[in-house]
Amino acid sequence: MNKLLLKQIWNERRSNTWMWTELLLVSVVMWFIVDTMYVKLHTYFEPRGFDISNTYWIRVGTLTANSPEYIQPSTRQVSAGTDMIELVERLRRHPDVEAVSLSYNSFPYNGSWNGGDVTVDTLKQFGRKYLVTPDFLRVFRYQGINGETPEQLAALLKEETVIIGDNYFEEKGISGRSLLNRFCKLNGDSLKSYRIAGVTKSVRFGDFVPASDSHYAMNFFGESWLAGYKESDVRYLEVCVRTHANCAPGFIERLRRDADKQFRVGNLLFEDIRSMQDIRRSFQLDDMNDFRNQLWGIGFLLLNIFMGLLGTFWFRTQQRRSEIALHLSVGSNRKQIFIRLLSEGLLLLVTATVVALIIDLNVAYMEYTPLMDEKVITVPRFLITVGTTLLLMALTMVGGIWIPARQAMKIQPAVALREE
Amino acid sequence: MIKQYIQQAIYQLRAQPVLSAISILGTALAICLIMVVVMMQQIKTEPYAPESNRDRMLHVKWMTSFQKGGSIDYSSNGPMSIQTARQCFRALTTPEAVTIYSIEHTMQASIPKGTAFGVDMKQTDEQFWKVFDFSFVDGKPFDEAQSEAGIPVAVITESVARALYGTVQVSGKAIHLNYAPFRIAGVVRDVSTLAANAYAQVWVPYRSTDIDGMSWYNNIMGAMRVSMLARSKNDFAAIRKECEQLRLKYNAGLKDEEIAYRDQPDTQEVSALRKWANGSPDIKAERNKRLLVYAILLIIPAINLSSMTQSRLRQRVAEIGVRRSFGSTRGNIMWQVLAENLVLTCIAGLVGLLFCVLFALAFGSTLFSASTLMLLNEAPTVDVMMLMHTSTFGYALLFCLILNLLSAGIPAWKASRVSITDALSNQ
Repeated sequence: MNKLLLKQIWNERRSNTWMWTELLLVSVVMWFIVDTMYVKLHTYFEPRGFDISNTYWIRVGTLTANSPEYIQPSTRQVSAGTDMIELVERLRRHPDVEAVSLSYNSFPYNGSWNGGDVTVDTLKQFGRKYLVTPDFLRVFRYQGINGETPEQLAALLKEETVIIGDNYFEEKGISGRSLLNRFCKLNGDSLKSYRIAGVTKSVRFGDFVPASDSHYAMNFFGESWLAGYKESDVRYLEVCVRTHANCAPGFIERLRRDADKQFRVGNLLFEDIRSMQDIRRSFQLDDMNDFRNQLWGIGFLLLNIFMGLLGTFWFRTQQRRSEIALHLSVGSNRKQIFIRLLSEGLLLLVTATVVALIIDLNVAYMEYTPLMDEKVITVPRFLITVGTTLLLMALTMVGGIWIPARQAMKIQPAVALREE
Repeated sequence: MIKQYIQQAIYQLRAQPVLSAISILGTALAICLIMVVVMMQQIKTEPYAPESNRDRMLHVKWMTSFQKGGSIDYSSNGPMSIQTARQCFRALTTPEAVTIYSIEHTMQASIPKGTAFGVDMKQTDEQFWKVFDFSFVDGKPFDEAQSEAGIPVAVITESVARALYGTVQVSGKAIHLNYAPFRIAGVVRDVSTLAANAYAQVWVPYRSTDIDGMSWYNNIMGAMRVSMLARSKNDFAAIRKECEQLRLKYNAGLKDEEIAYRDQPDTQEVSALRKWANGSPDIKAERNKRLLVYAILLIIPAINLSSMTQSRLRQRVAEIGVRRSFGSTRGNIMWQVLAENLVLTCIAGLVGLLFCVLFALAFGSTLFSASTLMLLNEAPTVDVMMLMHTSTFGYALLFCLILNLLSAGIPAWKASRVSITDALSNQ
C-alpha cells in the first residue's frame, strides 16, 4: 500500500514537483508570519499592570485674549493654577466620578514621555519618569507587588518618596521588590534622597510593548503646588478620570453638556475629552494594522495552496478516472479513495515541512525573527509556530483535495470502465 | 497574429473551465493583493489634492535639542517653536514657499451662543495656501498681513460650515473657537486625514492664538512643524545645504543649547515613515521589506499557475508537434505560449485591479489608516483620485508581465524543447 503510494507520487512527479516547491515556500513564509504574530500575541496577553476600563483623559485649555469672556489675569486675585485646583475639585464632586488625577506625560498609551535616571547606591538606570498626583494610582488601578491596593499605593506616594515598577532594575538583574524602602537619588541630583516607598507590578507602556522595554519611576506631584501656576503652565497638565464601575454609558456626553455651566473656572475650559479606549486604539493603530495585514497574508498563502491543490488534483483525478473507477469496482469505498488521494498530498506536505524546518531554523539563527522575552527563538515557541503552520496547511489540504475527489467519485464505475 | 493569440487563449479558457477559472482567479487575486500593497504605499507618497506637489515637498516633522556640546542621547525631541521655525526655515531663500503649522489640536467650535463641538485645528501662516493647493468653494485664504498681525480669521471645511450654518456660503460670518470669535475667511473642500500634512477642519493664523506661549526648552521647542515647496526636485540638495547653514547660525546664537534635525528635511516618502521624534526611520529596511512582500505575492501564485499551464500544455503536445514539423522554431513556440498566457494574465490583471480599487474604496478608511499619534475627530476618507495615478497602471502592467513570465516561462521553455517525433506520437 505504502509502496504503491510512493510509486503513484513518482508517476505524478511533474505536477508534484510544482506542488512540493509551493508547499515548501508557503511553509517557510507562513511560519515566519505565524511566528511574528505569535510574538505579538504573547506580548499582548502579558499583564499590563494598569486598568483603563472606565477611564478618561481631559485636556484643559485656556481662553485667549481674543475671547470676550477672557478675564485679564492682572485683574484677578487667584492664579490659573488655583482655578485648576477648583476644576479638579468640581470633577471629584461629579456623581459619576470615582477618582481624578493630574500628571505630566504619564498616562498609558502615550507617545510623549519624559525620561530620567534613578540611582540606588552605585546602581543607575534610565527609565520613564512619571510625575503624578497620588490619585493617578487609583485612576489606573496600579497593583502593588506585595498585594497593595491602588488606594494603599496612593497613600505611599509623597513628596519625599518614589514608586517604581518591579522590573525597573531588571537589566541589572535586581528586582524592584528587593529595593523597597531603600533610598535613591533622581536625575543626577546628589543632594536630595527619596525613599522607594512602593513597588508595583511591571507596568507596560502599550499592549505591544513588552515589560522588558517598559521601565518607569513615579514622582509625587502636589496639587497645592499649582497655586502659583500661570495659564501657559496649566495647559501641559493631563487630567485623568475614573468613573464608577456602575456608571451609565455616555459619560463624555454628560460631562460635555455640563461643561459650560459647571466646568468653566476662570479662563479654563475643557478642550478635549476622550476615553482611554480611544487613545489606546489610536496609539497602537499601526500595530493593529500590521497584525491585520499579516492575517491577510496568511489567508492569501492558504488560498493559494487551496487553489493549487484544487487545480492539480482536479486535473489528476480527471486523468485517473478509470483507475478510481477500478478501485471502486473491486470494492474500495469512497472514503478509502479520498484517503488515498489525501495521503498523496499529506506525504508531500510532510516532506516539504521537513526541509522547511531547516530553513526556518536558519532564519531564526540569523536573527530575522522578532525577539520574545529577549530571545530570538525557543523550543516551545518553535514547536508551537511550526505546529500551527503545519496544521493550517493540512486543513487547507483536506479542503483542496476533497472537492476534486468528490467530483471524481461521483462517477459510476461501469461508465468509467466502459469509456476505457 | 495577435488576434490568433487571443482566439487561442479564449478557446483554451473554454476547453478547461475549472482550470481556467482557478488560474484567472489565482492571477486576479495576486494582482489585487499586490495592488493593495502598492496603493498602501502610494497613498502616503503619490500626489493628490491638497498635497498635489508631494514630489517637490520637504518636511520637518520633529526636531531635537540638547545641551551644547552634550550627547544627542540626552535630548528633548518634539515639534519646534515658532521662533525656531521662523529663523531656521521661514528664512530660507531657496524654496518657493515655506509654511509653519501646528500639529492638529482639538478645539471647541460653535456659532455665537451655539453648542460647541470638537474640530481638528491647525494654526498656520499664509504660505500654507501656496505649499498646499486647497479648493476654495467660498471666500479666500487669509493673506500675509492678516497672518502676521494675528487677525482672528479662519478657513474651514465644507463639513464644518454645514455643521455650523447648514450651508457652505458662510465667508464673512462668525465662528467661535474655544469661545473666541473668528471671522470665516474661506471655505474649502474637506481634506482626507491621509493628506496628513495639509489635513485639518479649521485653519487659523498662528499669531491669532496664544500658541506662541506653548513653547518649551527655552523657546526652542514648541508645537510647530514645517513643510516647504521646492521649485524643483533638483533643488533638494541646495535647500538642505541652506537649512544646515541656518541651523549652525541658530545654534551659534544659543547660549546653552543646540538643535539637530536627525536627517531632516525629509522627502514625502521618508516623512510618511517618520513616526517618532527621537529616531530616524530605516528607509532601506522598509524598501527591502516591500520588495520581499512583492516577491512573495508574485512567486507563490506563479508556482500554482506554472503547474496549471504545464498541465494544459501537456494536452497540446500533438498540436505543438504539428506546428514544429511545419517549420515553427522553438522560439516561435515559446513566444506563442507566452503571448497566449499574457492574454489570460492581462484579463485577470484587469479583474484584479478592479477588485483592488473597489476594495480600497469600500474599506479605505481602515485599510489606509495610519497612526498620527493624535486623536482626530474624523476618520480617513478615500476617493478615486487618491487611488488612481498613472504609476498605478504602470505597476499593474509591470506586475502582470512579471507574473506572466514567472508562470509561463518554464512551461513554455519545456514545451518548446519537446522533440518533433515525440510530440507527434504524443509521448
